[in-house]
Amino acid sequence: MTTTGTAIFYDGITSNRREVAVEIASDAIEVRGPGGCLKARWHFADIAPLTTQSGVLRVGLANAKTTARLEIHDQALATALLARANPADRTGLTDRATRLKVVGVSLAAIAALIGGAVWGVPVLADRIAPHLPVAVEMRLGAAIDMQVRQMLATSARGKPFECGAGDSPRAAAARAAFAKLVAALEGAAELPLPLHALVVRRSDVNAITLPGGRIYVFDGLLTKAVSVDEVAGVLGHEIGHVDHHDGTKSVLEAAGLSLLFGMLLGDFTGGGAVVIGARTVLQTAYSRSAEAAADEFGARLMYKVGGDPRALGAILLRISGKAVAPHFLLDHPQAQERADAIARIGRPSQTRALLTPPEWEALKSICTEG
Amino acid sequence: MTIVDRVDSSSTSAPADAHLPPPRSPVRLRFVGHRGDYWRLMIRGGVLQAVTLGIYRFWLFTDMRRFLWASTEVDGETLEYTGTPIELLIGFLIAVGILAPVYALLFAASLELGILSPLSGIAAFVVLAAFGQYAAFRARRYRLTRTVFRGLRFHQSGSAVRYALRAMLWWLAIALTLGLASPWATANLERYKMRNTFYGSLGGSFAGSAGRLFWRGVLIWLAVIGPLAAGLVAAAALIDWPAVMQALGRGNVASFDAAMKGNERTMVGIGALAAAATWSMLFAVILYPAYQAIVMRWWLGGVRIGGAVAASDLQMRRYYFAYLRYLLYVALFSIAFAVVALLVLRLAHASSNFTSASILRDGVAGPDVILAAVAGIVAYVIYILGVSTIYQVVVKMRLWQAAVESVMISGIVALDHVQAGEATASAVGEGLADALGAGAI
Repeated sequence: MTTTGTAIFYDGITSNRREVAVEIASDAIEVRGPGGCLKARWHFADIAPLTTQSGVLRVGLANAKTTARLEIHDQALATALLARANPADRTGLTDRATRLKVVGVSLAAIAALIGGAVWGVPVLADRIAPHLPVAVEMRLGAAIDMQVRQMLATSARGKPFECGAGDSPRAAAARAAFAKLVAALEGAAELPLPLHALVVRRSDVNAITLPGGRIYVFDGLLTKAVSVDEVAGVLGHEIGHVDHHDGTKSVLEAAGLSLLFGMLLGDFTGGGAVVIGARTVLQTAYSRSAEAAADEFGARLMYKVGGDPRALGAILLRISGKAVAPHFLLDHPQAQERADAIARIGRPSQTRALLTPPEWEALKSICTEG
Repeated sequence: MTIVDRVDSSSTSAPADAHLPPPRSPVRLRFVGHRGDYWRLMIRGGVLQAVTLGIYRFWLFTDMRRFLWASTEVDGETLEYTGTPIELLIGFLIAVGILAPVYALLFAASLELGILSPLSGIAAFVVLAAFGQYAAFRARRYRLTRTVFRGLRFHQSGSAVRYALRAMLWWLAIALTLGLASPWATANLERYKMRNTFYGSLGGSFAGSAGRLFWRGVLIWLAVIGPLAAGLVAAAALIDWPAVMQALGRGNVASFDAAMKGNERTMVGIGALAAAATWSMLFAVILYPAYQAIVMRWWLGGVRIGGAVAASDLQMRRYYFAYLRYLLYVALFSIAFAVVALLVLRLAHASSNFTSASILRDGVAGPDVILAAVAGIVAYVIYILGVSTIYQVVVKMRLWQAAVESVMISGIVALDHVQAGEATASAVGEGLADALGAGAI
């Protein structure tokens, strides 16, 4: 076995290229300059092979500040040195073990991340949302309102997005009827912040709640409803969202999830899809329990004001009777399940009409009149 | 001089007199890596990135740099990359810690200004762009201090904050001049970077002339920006804006057409604008490789380290070949991917209750819908990682190779007796760049 040969040595202090004599001793490699003076003595255990072009062995000292390098072009000498130095590195075993460890630790980190997203983020949002000052919630609502109006106010065709804003006496009557209904529910709900409910010009059968007590009832819902109690039930459900701060929670959740997935995963190529996908799937899961809670709140509110709580279940069933659009990820629990849960709350022994028949007629035509 | 040259060419090494080293003939850099090794490294890295949701990238970037550095040979000696993946990971985590409050502040500011108001968008863009420049300068310092050549490290002095401010001012100038100031910006920023670059204790500098870059690139600028500017001027002069606004306000295409029928000038103006925009986009795509090659050749030719002077004869066609090959490979990969995806879909469809009715069914998303969404995301990630792997090997590596092989260094003797310089720097800048999506090799 070769134990001596020549190599090129850089001492890490200057860039001088030195041709040196190398000898493999019992426990170390000895580097000697011209005249036999000892330039370096490196223990086998400290030697680390470093990257270079193929056909050349470049070694340095592991875990040392120095950048001294020894380059061996002599294949036989290189083989002999590697046989003595760190045996694991020669076969790529350490590399493979490192990669496996990285994969294992990464998977654990991802599991922790998903756990945090599924359980941690909603819990945090639930804890933080009720403690936000009303002013912050209102401002958040105003900001989101701008965005929502941009997205929804498309089919207005010259008419204002908001219904019932006209000057005619019939528009005023419609406005008064809606205000009466909202006031009855709001009075019973004991909310921490003032409601701001509107009927808007949209043909979809829906109603939405934004942070800060903003409720939009879509015209399509009024068209579909057969009684005041159905509209009141939906309003009660949306007031439930207001009371539970669900709009604020979902904004906090979205921010938390985009922070978790977007920032921790960094510029991972294709990461954008993961972020959006995660958000869609997870927020579907969040809102299921929130919808059930809002249903319960709405039904109890109806009970309190003397309306029929079951009307909410009835309109839910009617809406879902035929799918209006292929909803890919619907975020409301099955209509029948919800109707059953609402029916369990019962019905007050004495119901009263929340609006008079003329008022109900005026409300139904709020979007055609002004 | 000629005599010395001839004597010198017979014995290139071992200077006879250390005080007066004989000049050597210019040295051409060589690329000594094997492309197959790089493919293997990149494909393995892509698979592991998919499995670890991208966390493996720190290890992959380190492997890539080790390969590229070790493949770059200067005067018979390859470069060495000494950075480690753990440094990059820690740098990234620290960067997340720094950026989280910044993001929170930006979120609060956008609430104050209205979430989608253009002002908050611009503010966020400016803040993050400044951070990106800061990160890029610090990342460069990290890479230089992890580059060893002949047993000595490179390093970088200078202030990242000052660099970021300088860069932002230049970007403002570029925006105001529609890109015409870009050669002066590039030259100025490169000068700052190279003057703060050291090999051991030997300082670098940058000799590229902004005027020269301007004259080399001005034709591309004229071909891309010129028509667009002309189109905008024509549109401004010809289009009857109040009429257009009124017609747009009515909201549908038919009424817009009807309103514009009699207005010939406006129609010509709109046509000119559309034609100019199409032309600009087309030429921007076609001329992009040429632009890259011009800037790279100019930059390589301006690099100086001590008395060592670089020159480059980079050929533009190597850039075009790289991009054309990339298009071809991506097309082939896409076909293969589509075939596999269709087969998998067929199998899944045949073997399950994976029916479309369940998606249409009223009610909540079932497990099958979530499964379909997850499968879609997985397929998308695999496709994107495949395309990015092809890009890294076919474009990035080949352009690196083309750039390396184009460089001739004269006066390389200046690098022969350099003293060691400063200590190393942390990888926080790299982490910031990574977190901001500004990471690069």
